[in-house]
Amino acid sequence: MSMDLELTDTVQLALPREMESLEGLFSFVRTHCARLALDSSLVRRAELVAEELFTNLVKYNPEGKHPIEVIAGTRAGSPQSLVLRFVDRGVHAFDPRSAPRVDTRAPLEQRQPGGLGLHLVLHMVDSLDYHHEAGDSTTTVVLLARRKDAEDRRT
Amino acid sequence: MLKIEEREGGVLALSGRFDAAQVEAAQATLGQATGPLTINLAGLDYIASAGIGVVLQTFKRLKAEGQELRLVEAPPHIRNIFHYAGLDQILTIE
Repeated sequence: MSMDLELTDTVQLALPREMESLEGLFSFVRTHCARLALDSSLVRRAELVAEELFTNLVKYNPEGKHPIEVIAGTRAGSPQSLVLRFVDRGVHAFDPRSAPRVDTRAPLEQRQPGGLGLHLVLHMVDSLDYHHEAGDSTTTVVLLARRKDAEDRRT
Repeated sequence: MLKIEEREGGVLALSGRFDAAQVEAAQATLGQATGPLTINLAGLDYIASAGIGVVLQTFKRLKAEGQELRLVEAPPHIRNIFHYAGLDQILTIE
């Protein structure tokens, strides 16, 4: 499904699969959002989503040998949207949609480690799609401006 | 970049950005902190799950020692992240 999404205004970056790449990732996201004049609260959500998805690939695809490709764009026909796509080549499939959910109502002692990042991502995005083909793993998220973004900005 | 400033009265003030690249440095400080501990978040611009994990580890350790951890002056967007994580019901956030 994600592969059918029509993107415009795309830019692309390849990042070494290490935590030190985060600064470059943030800069890439901020620059792209500024170019599109996106709301600052949406930018804040985008940075968090980008970090969580990128660090998940670094942590959970240790067999990956290639840089992680990041594509930022806009959904065609939705100027106040941001699409982020992460392509990780030569890795096993890991569909974030099927990852175990965090039970945020459970006492801390009963919570399983991990999963919080994806939990936050699902709060921040308006859609998340995943595609795996011939060893290439592609995760695509769409973030739309929300009324709450404007409320956050005023607080 | 994350900055951690030690203040009087058992207060650590966090400022800047608490992303996954800051975890090691943050653990070095928070892992040594003694209770009761107050973490001031007024200057924090950004926190991701990796940063929340460090705060949680500190909370669990202090709780096991019978000590308290309080988070104070969290900006709304930081408080929202703790809320989405379901931690505003567990941690004391003022």
